[in-house]
Amino acid sequence: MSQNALVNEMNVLEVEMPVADERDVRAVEHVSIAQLSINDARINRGQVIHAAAILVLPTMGVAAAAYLAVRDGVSLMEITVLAAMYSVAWIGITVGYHRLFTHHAFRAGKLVRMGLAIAGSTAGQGPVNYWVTNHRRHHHYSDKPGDIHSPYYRGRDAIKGGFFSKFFHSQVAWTFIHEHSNTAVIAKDMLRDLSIARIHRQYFLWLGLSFVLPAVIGGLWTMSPLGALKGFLWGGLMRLFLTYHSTNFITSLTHMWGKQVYKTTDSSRNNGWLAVITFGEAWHNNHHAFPSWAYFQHRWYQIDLGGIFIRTLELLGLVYDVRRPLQRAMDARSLARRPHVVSSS
Amino acid sequence: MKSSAAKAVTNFRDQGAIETWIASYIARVIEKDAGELDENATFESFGLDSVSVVGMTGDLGQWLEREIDPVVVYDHPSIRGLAAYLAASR
Repeated sequence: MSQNALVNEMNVLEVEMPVADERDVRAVEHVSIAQLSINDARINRGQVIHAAAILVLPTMGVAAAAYLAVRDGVSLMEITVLAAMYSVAWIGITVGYHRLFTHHAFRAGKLVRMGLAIAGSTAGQGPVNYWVTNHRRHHHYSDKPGDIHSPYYRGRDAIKGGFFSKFFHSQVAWTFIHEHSNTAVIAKDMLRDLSIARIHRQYFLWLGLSFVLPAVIGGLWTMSPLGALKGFLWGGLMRLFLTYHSTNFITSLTHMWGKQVYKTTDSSRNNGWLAVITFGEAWHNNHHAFPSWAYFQHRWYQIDLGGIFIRTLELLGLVYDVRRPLQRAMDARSLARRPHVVSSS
Repeated sequence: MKSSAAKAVTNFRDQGAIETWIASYIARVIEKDAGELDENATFESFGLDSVSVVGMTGDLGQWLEREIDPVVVYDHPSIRGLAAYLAASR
């Protein structure tokens, strides 16, 4: 028997006798993690209900809070629960969901990661994996077809019309219609952290507690049911109204209005007054130029409360490997003339 | 001889093969060894979220050359359960 014939004979035998191992190897070879966009009726229905709830309910809450404020005035309690819950949500979004989980701009231990994921959940912008996949997709397609919340594209189609059409899509409408992205394709790192996966699943629990907590504080502060209601309205619904719209000013306004200091492939801009209320997020051109840096502050006068929070955690030894701005990289990408270059005019 | 070879190819997508495919898929996503995964544990317990489970049924459907309604995963949320259901419902 020649060697070839022997090989052929063995091949035939292998086909004839698909022992478990042989079969398994072939199944393994066919594994491919391919589906980026997820279009599922249940998930889409949940998206529309969630988008409607976080748009409509907080707006109604603001109206109720305004009525009571006109009737009774506003006390320190309402201001306190609003400021506290607003800060928790914004720190959770910009430091947790955004800089840590989406961009790995610094590293942190398990408890800090869990705390930031919980704080981010209180902002009512979806569970952490959902936010991370959305945001990685935004950076990938930024202001190009496929960007889920650009003022310039609705899915693949350019948005026709003026400022209002562009603003309305990127401020509100995108939340109802955008495509979902597969975590297994663009955020495998999120699935591997089981403590974060649990918080992802408990999203509604943490979001719910962010309404219960200010109500309890309001009730205990004033020792009255009316105080609990006001705590709920100010620390819960009005807070969510403000975090919703200030966050979506980043998806809308900071891609339309402000100053571009770096050359980027998108329309991201810096906007100083928005930066204060968005915990640094509105230094958005800075961020798009260098997405993985922990600090959005690149100049001494650029206030970045999220960056200050990270620096504080670092000084306390709670986070490490913080990615800092590099002067040479900033100079290389800057659109401004270098100081030593004399203008010819 | 020919017919037994053909039979082997058909059997290639039986319950055991589907189990292996799902376990290998999850193993690749969460970077574990496929052999370490408990076939009776829920997809959730491996850290998978709903979007990634729907994505997995899409990729699995591509391989099996059939449409899989992602809803079946809610009733059969484990490697063994889903594979058994798919092998039986062919």
